Amino acid sequence: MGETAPSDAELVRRARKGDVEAFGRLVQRHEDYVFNAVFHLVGDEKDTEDLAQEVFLRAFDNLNGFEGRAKFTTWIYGIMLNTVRGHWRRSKRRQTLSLERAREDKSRPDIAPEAEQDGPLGSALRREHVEVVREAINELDEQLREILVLRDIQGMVYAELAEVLELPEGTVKSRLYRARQQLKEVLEPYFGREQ
Amino acid sequence: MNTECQKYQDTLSEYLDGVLCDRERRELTQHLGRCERCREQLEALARTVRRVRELPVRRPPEGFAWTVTERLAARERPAPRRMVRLLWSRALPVAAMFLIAIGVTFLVRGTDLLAPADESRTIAMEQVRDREPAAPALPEREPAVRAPAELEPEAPAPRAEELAAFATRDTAPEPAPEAPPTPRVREVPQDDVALEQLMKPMQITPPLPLHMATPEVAPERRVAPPAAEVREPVQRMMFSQIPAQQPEARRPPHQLLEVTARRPTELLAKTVAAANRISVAALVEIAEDGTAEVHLNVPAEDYPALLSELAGLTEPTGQSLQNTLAAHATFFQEMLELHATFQKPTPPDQAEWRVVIGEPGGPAFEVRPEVVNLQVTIRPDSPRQRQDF
Repeated sequence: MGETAPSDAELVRRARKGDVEAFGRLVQRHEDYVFNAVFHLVGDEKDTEDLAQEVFLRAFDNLNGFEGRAKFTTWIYGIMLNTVRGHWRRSKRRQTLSLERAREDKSRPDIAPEAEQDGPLGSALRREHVEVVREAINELDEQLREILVLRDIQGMVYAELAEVLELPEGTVKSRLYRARQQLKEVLEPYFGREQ
Repeated sequence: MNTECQKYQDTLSEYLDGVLCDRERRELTQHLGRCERCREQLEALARTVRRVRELPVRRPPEGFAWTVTERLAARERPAPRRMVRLLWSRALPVAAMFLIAIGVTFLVRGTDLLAPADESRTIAMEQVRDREPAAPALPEREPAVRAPAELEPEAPAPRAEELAAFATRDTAPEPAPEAPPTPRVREVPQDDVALEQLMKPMQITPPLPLHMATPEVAPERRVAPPAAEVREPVQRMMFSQIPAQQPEARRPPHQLLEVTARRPTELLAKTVAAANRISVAALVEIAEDGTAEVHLNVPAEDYPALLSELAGLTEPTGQSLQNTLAAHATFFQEMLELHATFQKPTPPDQAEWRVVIGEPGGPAFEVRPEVVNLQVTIRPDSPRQRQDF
């Protein structure tokens, strides 16, 4: 019989007592989705790793604030949002969108839509399209970006969004709609009906 | 857009998420049946959401957790900023007096005091430059040390020795404190199915439900097998071991990766992906005589790193793979297109190619399946087959 992995709550309890190894296991367990969320929120490769680390350092410092009523994931999402918002306030700069260049590229007559391409060229196009979508997300207002990333990239349900963002569910729904609508306005002219 | 349409427009997003109640969904469906404009809006919104959900997942670098705990450990050490401040506060009066003394001396003895000193300093600097090699580059990321004043800790701080011990042994427990670090070996798939799974690109990335993305009892990522399972490189191996390189700061030490492939081209693609964690698209064509041709698309900025990582690989002929790739590299738009040709393995019944990257205690790489997009075209078998991994 293999040893049962300790729960998040158990690891938190041990980490509170100064067991850094237990905290390291918590980090390993949650690093993937924290890193992915931070990356899509800040849209900057260089800042992502530092910010993701900062999220966990803050979590360690505030373990006493984790009461165990909420899931650890929900709790650390709150810390992540505060960290990212602080970064936004500090940087005061927005990612510049290179959609114009992407649009120019699209006008090249020798490039067929993604679905018709295979092999290396298709791969290059897919890569380019991914960048276009990412940059369009970065162009969204920060509040809209938050809710879009948490819902459509991180897969949080409405109740979790309401808890993490501290918003009524009605506001979650309307804000998510606005985020998707704005993104659609940017992406549709670029992609059109292309699947 | 009329008022009715506006009313339903606001619910399209919820409709896509499946959170409308039965009555709302029924009403919207009826409206969509008679309103082409709203149908188009819904389709456009769905396309947008799908594009977002299909974005590739960005994962942290290997050793991320180790880096976090290392930073925790670093915080426990004396903050250099405070020490500098202390030294500065005490040294300042002494330095001021020293400067005043020099100034007085200069005024008394005149400018002839400086000439020989400058000359000798210049010569000395040149000698130093000639003799000493360039200073070693700093690690890519130094763990940031934060001053205690910035931290506002609310949790009891762990003891420094515990932190240091954890930071140096990764996150897996060891049998005994005095034992040397156990080399960690990533699990190697042994059959084609597992290989194909490993090479499968992440083409669709639906949002992960929170409970699935963060299992309460998630298995540990790395597996440390018994030492007996660490296989020795076999004699028939065509791609030899990459020379040990300086480990980057982000990589945890003491890891060993074995890559096993049925075909040399798979091995190459996996190795490239493992070494660089970059997007690699490879088109492999295997001719009737067993010759395989590889087309790799690698972002131009990753090309130097790629060549560096492939420096130690050799083709079956003994020719450096690096040279082969360099000789066939052509720029194609913003991507670098690489071609390499492999000869039929010798002996022909050789079915497995292996490469071991890294040594116990040396740098480590990880195969990340999401960055490999490998397409294999096998020809001239009839009918032409294409296999996507």
